[in-house]
Amino acid sequence: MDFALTQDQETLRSSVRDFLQKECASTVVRRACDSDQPYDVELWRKAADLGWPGLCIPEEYGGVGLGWTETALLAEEMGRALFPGPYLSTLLSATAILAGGNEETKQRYLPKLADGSFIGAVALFEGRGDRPEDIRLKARPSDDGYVLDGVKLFVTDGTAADVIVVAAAGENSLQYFVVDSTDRGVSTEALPVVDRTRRQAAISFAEVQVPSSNMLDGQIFEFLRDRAALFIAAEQTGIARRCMEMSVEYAKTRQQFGKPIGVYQAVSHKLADMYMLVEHATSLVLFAAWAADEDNQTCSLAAWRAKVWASRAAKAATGDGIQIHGGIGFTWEHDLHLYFKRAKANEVLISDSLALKELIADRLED
Amino acid sequence: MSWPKEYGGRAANPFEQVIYLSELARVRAPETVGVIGLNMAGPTIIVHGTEEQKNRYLSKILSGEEIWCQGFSEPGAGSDLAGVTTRVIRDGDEYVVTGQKVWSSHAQVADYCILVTRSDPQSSRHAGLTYLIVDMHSPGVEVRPIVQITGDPEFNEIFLDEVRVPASNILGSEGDGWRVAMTTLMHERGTLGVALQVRSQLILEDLVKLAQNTTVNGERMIDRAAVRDALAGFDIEVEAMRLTGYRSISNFARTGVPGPEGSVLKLHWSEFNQRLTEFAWELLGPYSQVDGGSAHSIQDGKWQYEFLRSRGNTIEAGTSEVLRNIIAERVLGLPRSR
Repeated sequence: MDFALTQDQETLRSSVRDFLQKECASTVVRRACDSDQPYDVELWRKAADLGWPGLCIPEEYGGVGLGWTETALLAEEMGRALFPGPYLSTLLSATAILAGGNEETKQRYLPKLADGSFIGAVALFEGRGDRPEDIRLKARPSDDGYVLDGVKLFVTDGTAADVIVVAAAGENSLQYFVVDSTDRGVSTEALPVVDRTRRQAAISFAEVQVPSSNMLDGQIFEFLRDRAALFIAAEQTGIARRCMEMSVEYAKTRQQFGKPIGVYQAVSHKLADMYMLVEHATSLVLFAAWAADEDNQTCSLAAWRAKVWASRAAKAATGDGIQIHGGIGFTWEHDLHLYFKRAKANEVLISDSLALKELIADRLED
Repeated sequence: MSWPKEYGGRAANPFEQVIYLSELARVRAPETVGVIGLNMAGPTIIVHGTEEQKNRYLSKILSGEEIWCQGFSEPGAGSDLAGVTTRVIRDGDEYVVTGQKVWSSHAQVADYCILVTRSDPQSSRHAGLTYLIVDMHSPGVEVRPIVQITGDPEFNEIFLDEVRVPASNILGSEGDGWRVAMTTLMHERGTLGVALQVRSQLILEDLVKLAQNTTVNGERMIDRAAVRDALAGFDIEVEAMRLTGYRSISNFARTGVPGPEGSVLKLHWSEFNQRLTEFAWELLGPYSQVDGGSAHSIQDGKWQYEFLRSRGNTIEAGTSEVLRNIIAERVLGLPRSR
């Protein structure tokens, strides 16, 4: 039982951090936020050259074949840097196709998702509800496959996507389809979201024809939700740690009443609490990632816990971070608001803390 | 378990220690009365003691024949240990100790006490302290129990009136007591966090049962959204403590140095335990007012005791305020507040 990263994983982390410090500085993030383009294409290409989109896709489908621990590491660093690219959405679409696609579908989509030439997205939710029974978009059998009809909301990076995995209500159960964004009847509308570092879309499917071969096998809703929870938890941890570091640095240098403000316990004790939150988030994410690679039985619960706690840590570190920075922290000019908004958006992304705690409570009674 | 083999220990690695402590906690074993000897006095003697002291004391700590207590805190020196004023004067080959110590667990049954005293009256703060081993059966030692918020006398005051201690009972050298005391305190929090986490896990399991068994007009408390949300939140915190504890042990096993996680875990656990036990009172509603000993008592006053006792958790073994200072200054590198 050695509960720590391996040397290779530490090396990966530092190379990812170096790359992002160089290529994904605040100026790049802000440019992406202000842009009409749904993501920074140049940054995405550079990341794809390093193999990131295919990090946990098996080598036989053109990926690097690493696991969820490495993916979580990458996510943590992306949170730190507010990576403004369609990584999570592409990862989730590949995860869905890998879990439920037939060989032909896998061969058609996975290599392109792995090398970054295709952007993927998953379209699960249609409103406030985040349980399988809340899915209403209809899948109707037709002569040569299925017809999809309905509207999906909160599709992360939906405007950038070439490939969309859609959850639909079939005759008796939920069904999942891989749809090309250029298919007839698919129309995408950007949502004006508060967190500009990660775009979202509403996508309507008006009588969209999908071949049977594009249907995915199995019930992958929970699987996607829980892997997303793990990834977002890791991002939140990166956000929290970065904002804690910024606030500690500020508290050491900012002088008021003739002393650095970190001398005052009203400030330093906030930072001590932040440290506790961030350390626990790191622990919970590390375990959930390990469970995702080793043992699917405990992975879901571990990922729920990690997402709820890391979201709490990220909200505290960004919110109290703004408070510690005072006036400058409240300005558009300072980066803290970008972190604050991403932390809040992440908290409700895919599944929110209230819903996840409800799932955890169910397990407590088992 | 953790002591070196040459002193009768098993040289267990940190993982083995954790397994041992976790299992003890899991079966709800009461804390051993030898805890101060095993976790604090013994390790300090191993580091700073002479061969003669090691031969004299260590085996009887392990066998449980001799019980130890700790004389650090004083009425005027709580969190601020460097404010110790208990006087010691050298008289031939003896030291003469006069002063008052407080919050000493097991002092009423202890055979020996690890005592921090001020040997140089001109000194202040960390300098001029001397660390002694005092026989609790010596003339001039008086122990008075302190009844605490629960009604139990768990701690004691120790009055020392010209108590004569052989000069050979010094640990370290005269004036070097602060460094010796730090060794003791480093061991106080060590692997303790893991056992505390298991205790929290058990309390949470008991709380879930309580919420299942407590009904209002036929509705189980656990079916209320507010209760479910709170219990799920507690579950996450217990798991976070468990995993951070494991990371801390892995780190310790690799580097040999206890990391800052001990302070983090103690701080979190103590405040968490207060919220956890207070939540039992919320579940009990008006029954929370009834202590043990009545047909109307719930679980014979268990939760009344646990909640009241938890108020001490944020004070004993480093107050929450001191622990936050430690994290801020030693881990985050913020400027010292004093």
